[in-house]
Amino acid sequence: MKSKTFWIILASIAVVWAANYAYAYKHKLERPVFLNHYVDLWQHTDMPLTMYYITNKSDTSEIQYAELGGMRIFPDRFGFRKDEEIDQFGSYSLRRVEFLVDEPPPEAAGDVYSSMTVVFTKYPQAEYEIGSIAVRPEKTGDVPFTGTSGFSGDYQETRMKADESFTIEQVNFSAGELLNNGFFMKFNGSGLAADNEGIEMDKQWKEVKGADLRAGALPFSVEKGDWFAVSSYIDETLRSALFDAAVELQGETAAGKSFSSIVFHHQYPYVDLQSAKQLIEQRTEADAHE
Amino acid sequence: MNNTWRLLFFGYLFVFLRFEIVIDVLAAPIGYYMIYSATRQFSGQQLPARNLEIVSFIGIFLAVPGVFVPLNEAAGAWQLYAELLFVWKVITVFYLFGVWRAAVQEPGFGGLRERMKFVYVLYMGVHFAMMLVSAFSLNVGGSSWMTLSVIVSILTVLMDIALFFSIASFGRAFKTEKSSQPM
Repeated sequence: MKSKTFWIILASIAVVWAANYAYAYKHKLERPVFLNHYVDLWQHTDMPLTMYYITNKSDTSEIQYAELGGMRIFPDRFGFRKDEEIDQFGSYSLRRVEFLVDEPPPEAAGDVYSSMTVVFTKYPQAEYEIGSIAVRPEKTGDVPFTGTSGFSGDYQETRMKADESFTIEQVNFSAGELLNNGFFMKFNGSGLAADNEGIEMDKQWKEVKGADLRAGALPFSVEKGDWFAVSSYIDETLRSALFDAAVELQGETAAGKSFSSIVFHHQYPYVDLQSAKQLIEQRTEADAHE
Repeated sequence: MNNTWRLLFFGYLFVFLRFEIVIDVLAAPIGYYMIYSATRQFSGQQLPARNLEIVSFIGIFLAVPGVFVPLNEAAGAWQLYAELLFVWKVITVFYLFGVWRAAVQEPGFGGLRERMKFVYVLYMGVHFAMMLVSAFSLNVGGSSWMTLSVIVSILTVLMDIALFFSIASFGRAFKTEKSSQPM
């Protein structure tokens, strides 16, 4: 290779590098963006809280601590653990941090946080949108069913056997705006005719047996000794969110006793370049309107 | 290996390797100085080493900040600096090959000439690929890209090791040639 050729190649690489640098600079995030988290924290329980954020690939900052409502929470740094990079797409990096959350204070019961204050090592302290994290009271009380078993795949299903006859009258979900709007539920049992005519469902959810909540599945009665199943499903609009959420089933037994029980839905976030860009756009727009 | 080739060998070792104990113990400026010293000896042997002399001389000063900064975790401006040091190393090696090319023109170095050409083409190809990967890595990600980056990085290290072997074999060949010349 002649000297001239060498320098031409080197100059071309310099141009490519400069173009890439300019592009990355143009799309650089001013500050990290948190994914949406739909998580329930329970009173009287210490638990880790896993959270995900998107930041620039070149970002070397780490979370020092965060404030969720009145609770100050710290990342688990045992063994010099760092915020872990899960994936890279474009000029962005998806990172995971595990907070150690002490037992929430009694006054926090019922609180739902859609944002939290985060202190990064290299960004000023700021409020970040995080989805919806709820503090729920401890689960207590008898329920009229046993023998819970679960299935987790494209959708999640919890099967139970009724110890006495009862009726489920309503469901409560801490991120209530998602119910029937990206987060769907079906009830299946011998006492229920599944008539989902006219309800829009994607292919996977259509194959799940049961009556959709949107089709008027409730109230749903179960006879003593019968099995029944509650299924939940998240469509692709919410695939990039973390779900570690509880859905509360409220109802009454045939004897007139009220009960409340919980079924869980867990989903790890699936993020690709498109969903990352979408989320960044949403958050950046929200910041601009503040 | 005679003294010139030994200087080159250890000089490149210092330029290529980093061993950080608070600072980079295998300081690149020392490496560039060794290469510079070797180059001056090449010039004494009537080899066209002027460009290598200039590049290695500038390298002595250019590499000084890198001794004190952990470049493996560099970000922002220091990342740019790390890239510049990488490019400078390749420029140095380009001119080093130029000197070798002139040195092996004499008869009796046919095998060495062919081997040098092979190492040269691979070294430059892999290092250019590494520069491109670094450039695009600013905006491209994903597991496939990361796999490609790792493969090219490993190849880059392998080519640096191949260069060490080349310097050693050149040194041996020239020593043998010199000792076989009639007194």
